[in-house]
Amino acid sequence: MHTNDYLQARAGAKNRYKEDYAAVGTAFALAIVSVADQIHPEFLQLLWVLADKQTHNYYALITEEGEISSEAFTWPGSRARTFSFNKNSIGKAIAYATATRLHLSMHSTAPSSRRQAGQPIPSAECLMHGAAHASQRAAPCPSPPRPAVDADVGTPSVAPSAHANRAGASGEVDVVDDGTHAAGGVAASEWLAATLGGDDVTAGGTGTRNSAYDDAQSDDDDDEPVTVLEAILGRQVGQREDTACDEDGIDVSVGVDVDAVVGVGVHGQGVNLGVALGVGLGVGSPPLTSLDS
Amino acid sequence: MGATRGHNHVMDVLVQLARNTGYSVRVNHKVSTTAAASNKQGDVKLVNFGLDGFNNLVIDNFNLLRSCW
Repeated sequence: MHTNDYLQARAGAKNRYKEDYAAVGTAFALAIVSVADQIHPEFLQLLWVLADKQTHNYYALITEEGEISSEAFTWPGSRARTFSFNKNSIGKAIAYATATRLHLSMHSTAPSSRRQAGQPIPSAECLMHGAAHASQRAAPCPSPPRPAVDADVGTPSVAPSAHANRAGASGEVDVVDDGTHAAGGVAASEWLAATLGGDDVTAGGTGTRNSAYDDAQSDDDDDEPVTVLEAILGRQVGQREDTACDEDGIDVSVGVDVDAVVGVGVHGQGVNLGVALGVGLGVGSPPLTSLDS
Repeated sequence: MGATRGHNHVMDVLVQLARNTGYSVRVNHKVSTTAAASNKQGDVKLVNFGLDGFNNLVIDNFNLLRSCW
């Protein structure tokens, strides 16, 4: 079933309310939209009626009433532009609503037993549960916390929409007000520090120490959040930081690889989420030949 | 929760469009009472919309966010 068919099916199911409202002297209209930014034709007609009245009101303010039926009123005049503006406003609202829905689907579906105070949910686990919930698959087995994509570190994942005609509108949706967003944030650097006990990694036997925490912190990409919209479009984050330390004649190299791929696909009525995370940490020293000097 | 928020956001934009048009709008975020025999009440009510035979226009906002996930 295509999305248009689904829109039509929903419209058919809702149209029975028209008779009920007609009995009380009220007209009934549907405003059906899809997550693919498709708008039902009946809703488009309503938007056209609103645009027509807006244009009439505008010309009534700036010109005489007899001049309204001028050429500027018709295509490509202001009425079409107003209609397009209204339609785009609805489209942006749909996109924002879809992003909000996707964000909350990923960050609010963790088991309630884990959502206690002092027990933050790793982002990777949130993404896993969100993906499993979205694709109607069984939840994966709990895995140890792994460095996530830092999808929720720093800034809200969904930027507030900027509808020009929503000035002062109440009910702005704040996607981070429930705290679940911040609860799931575990940066890769924090995970590395926790896994390694927060201590420095000692490599070699002569007191040469190299901090893996500092190594991860030195990567500038750690501060860059991945927004939900970027997750929708799909994004591959790859970072590699190699640090070489030469102290007392001993070369020590520490490499950290963090590769993450987040992909989201919307196919008709379903949403598939795919998350792939990979982490590699290597600490080693060069051959002893370097000690000869 | 996300579907309701998304629904309310689209509805808020629609309400603002109607208000900018000049209509008096009543918003029903929470469906609690009924205006129709089928126990269904719309989301947005445009008072004195101007249709022949009808005083008001009730708009029921439905987005597929609620059915996709």
